[in-house]
Amino acid sequence: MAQTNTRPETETDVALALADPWHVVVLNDPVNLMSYVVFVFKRVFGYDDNRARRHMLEVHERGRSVLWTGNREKAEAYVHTLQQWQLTAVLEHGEAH
Amino acid sequence: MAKRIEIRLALPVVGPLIDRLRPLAEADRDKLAVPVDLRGVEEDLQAHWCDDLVATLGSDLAFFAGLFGEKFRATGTIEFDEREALAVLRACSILRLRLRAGELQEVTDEQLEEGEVDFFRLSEKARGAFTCYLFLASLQENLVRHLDPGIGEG
Repeated sequence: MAQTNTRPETETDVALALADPWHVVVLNDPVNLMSYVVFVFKRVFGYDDNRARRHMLEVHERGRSVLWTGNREKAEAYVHTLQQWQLTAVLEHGEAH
Repeated sequence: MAKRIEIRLALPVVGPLIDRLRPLAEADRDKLAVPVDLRGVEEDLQAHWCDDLVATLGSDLAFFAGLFGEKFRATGTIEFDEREALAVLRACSILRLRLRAGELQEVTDEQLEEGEVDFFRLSEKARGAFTCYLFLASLQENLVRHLDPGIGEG
């Protein structure tokens, strides 16, 4: 008789699969100051200086950064808030990074 | 009680810049500073999404314009609390984006990002716009540093 072994998934994997992950992506723009962008990231996401600055540099150097991944409703709220702060933010649907 | 912030500006220098910025702050309060990408946003949310962004923009610009009334004309100072400072920050960004899309079109993205704008090569119109652009940047940077002293320009 064949024995089926199922690899246990982590709670995070299951949660993300069920929640259909959405990414909050910030794109580079030539206008907004680096210090302003770091301030916004800290304020909107509650990130510390290092993490906010890392994301800001990624936006500046690579043209984009995934700031947050999770459920659609929360991702939409974050994108909306970032757009209120005049950052170029978009919602992307995809596999978790 | 939110802390008050008072900023003293050099009236002879900043006054003319505000005169130039005022029409930009008072016009088009029902239009977004830049087009927004609504891909991924649920369709039934999209109209409300933009309306809400426009409302925030209008409110931020109205607050900013209101700072430069009689008291500013008499003393060169503007005053607001830390909560209102967030509206000032956003308004500065809106106005910089509008300047970029308007009178600063002759400047490339690269020049703006790298800070390599040759002021004396700009047209007369663009020089005035660029001076306003720099003033707004300075105001934003000073405010950010006041609100979060740990953040420095990279």
